[in-house]
Amino acid sequence: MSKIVLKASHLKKYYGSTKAVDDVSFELCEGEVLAILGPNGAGKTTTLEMIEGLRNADSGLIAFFEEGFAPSQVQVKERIGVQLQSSSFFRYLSVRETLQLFGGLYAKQVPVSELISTMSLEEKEKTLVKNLSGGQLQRLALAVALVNDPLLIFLDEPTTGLDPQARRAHWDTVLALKKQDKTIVLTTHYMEEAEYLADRIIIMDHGKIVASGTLEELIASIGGKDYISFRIQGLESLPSALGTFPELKDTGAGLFELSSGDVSSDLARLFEYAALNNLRLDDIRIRRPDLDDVFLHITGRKLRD
Amino acid sequence: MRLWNFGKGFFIAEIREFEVLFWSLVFPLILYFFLSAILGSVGKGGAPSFELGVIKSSTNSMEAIAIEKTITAVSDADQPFKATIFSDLTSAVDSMKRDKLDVVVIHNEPASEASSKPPIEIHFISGRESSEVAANILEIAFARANLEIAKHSGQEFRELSSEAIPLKISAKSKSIAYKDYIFPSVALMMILSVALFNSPLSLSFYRSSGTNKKLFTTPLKPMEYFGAHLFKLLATMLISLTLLYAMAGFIYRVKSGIFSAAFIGTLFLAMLTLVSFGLMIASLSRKESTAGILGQVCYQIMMFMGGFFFPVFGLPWGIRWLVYMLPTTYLVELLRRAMGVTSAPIGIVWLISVPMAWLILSAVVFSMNFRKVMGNE
Repeated sequence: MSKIVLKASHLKKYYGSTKAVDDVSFELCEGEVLAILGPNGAGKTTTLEMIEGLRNADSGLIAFFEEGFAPSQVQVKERIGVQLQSSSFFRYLSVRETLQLFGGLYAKQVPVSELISTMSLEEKEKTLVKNLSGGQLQRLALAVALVNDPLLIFLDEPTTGLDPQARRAHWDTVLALKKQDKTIVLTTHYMEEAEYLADRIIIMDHGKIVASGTLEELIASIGGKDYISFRIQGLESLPSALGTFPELKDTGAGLFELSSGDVSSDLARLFEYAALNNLRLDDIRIRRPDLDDVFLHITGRKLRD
Repeated sequence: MRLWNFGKGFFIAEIREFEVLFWSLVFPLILYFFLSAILGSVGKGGAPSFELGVIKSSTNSMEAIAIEKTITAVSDADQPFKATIFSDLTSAVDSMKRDKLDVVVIHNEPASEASSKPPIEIHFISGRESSEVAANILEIAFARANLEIAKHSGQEFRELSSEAIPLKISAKSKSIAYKDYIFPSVALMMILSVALFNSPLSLSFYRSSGTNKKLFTTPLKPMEYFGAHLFKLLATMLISLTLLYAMAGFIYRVKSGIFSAAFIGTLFLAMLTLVSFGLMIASLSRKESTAGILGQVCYQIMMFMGGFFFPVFGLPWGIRWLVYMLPTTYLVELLRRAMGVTSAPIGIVWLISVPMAWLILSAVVFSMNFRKVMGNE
């Protein structure tokens, strides 16, 4: 069994009467990638910052590694790497100088040239931070988080604001770290990011953990059914005759969605019914349920709302 | 080692900013140049003017008349001297010490008890430029008078030999050139600029931008960060002071004690006091903009009401109380005293204790808000 590298128990953080984090507990095993997913204001960043030692928890316990170190202890700081939600570095230092400055703060350092190469920043190594693009800044931020060759990496919404290409490049880097058996905690409000990168997902809403598990476990928890969506030519709303399909929903704008435990049989049934009633089905799609469906099922809201 | 590496990087990151480079290093030099060039020549456009004290003999001898004529010739309208009659040397020298007179001339009668003395004594203050120049002019004037007397008199006459007698007085009321006088003001302005602008703005900026937050995820401790911040400020001020000293020493040839231990010690006291004051501003400002406004207001008040450029002790009491409250009033006076000039009616104890009181108060306020200023919960 893998070693537990982080244990957070009953974390609470209040700002006045607002419960930013409300009784959050989880464990993290060595080599695991954990995604904390939730909409803006769910308490993801506050949870992470308490773990990183940047905020004090009002109550609860955080213990790192087998020794049970507290977040503020130097033994923790030396072994973790943090990419904050908004990275701000010294504007008038170059990429290389920034990495040298941060590297100098740790006992163990990865050679700066190696980091520059890993993050594909060779062409920008002499460029001042103030002149970097958003994507380049994020790459620098990740490079800085890796400057001490950390065992445990925290990435707080690492791809927010990046274009799809830069986001994909960032994901590839995280997957490469995963292959090196790094333990990673990332927060995100992109369900695709959590689905693509994480071994385990925690879903947070209003400061609480509302669900957790692997992607399969979470989907199974809401029934695990697939969805068949389609349009009916000439119809904008659901005809009453289709009432024989109890799990059919009108999602608006002429698009209907059928929750299906057996796609082939339900599709056959649907085509048969359409033929009998002279209805022409159009734009038929089948999709697997995703984290948005899980979030919708649990909270009644869409994650993207 | 970690503190040194971080402090060095921190300093480089800041000094590359145009605003920091300009206001901390370039502007003080420009200001010093302009103030010396413009205000240094105020009052020097016309002929030089000297205050002359005269102690006459009680006789109406030829010699006395010749001396009288010589003094009248140099103190007529459009002439450089303005003569005042004194009854004794003590009161004349006293006036000279109080900077009311530049030079004193005494006529010693041959028949008098002081007959062993030369006919004319010229008393001046050694080291005071105006006094030395006035004495030289008078010696030349009396030498000419000798020639005139010799030309017009066929008789034997006592040569009007003059003896210049330098008077060494304590530097208490020494007058100095404007380029010397302004040096402490420019040096203090630079320290004010670094302490009241750079320091609080830098602390607020890195706190609000999240740089501090990132730094505190590393093993760097808040005290180490603060140490690096102080190192950065000190390095900036020392570089700027070196440039100012070079300008004052090599270009303006300032001699009035700016290299003395008292002057340099006072500069360090000023650095400590004003940096501490700047840290207090940082601890009272939640936002960068607040730190900027507070710093600007305090900077202007401390500079204009601190007596940097003009006397402030003649101001009405409605505003003079502020003069007495400011640490810069005492610091600039302390620096000038180290140069041998007294320009404010304040005792030495107050000159040291008021800045010290500000230093302690500011340090206490900052310490109480240390974690907030660092942005570390």
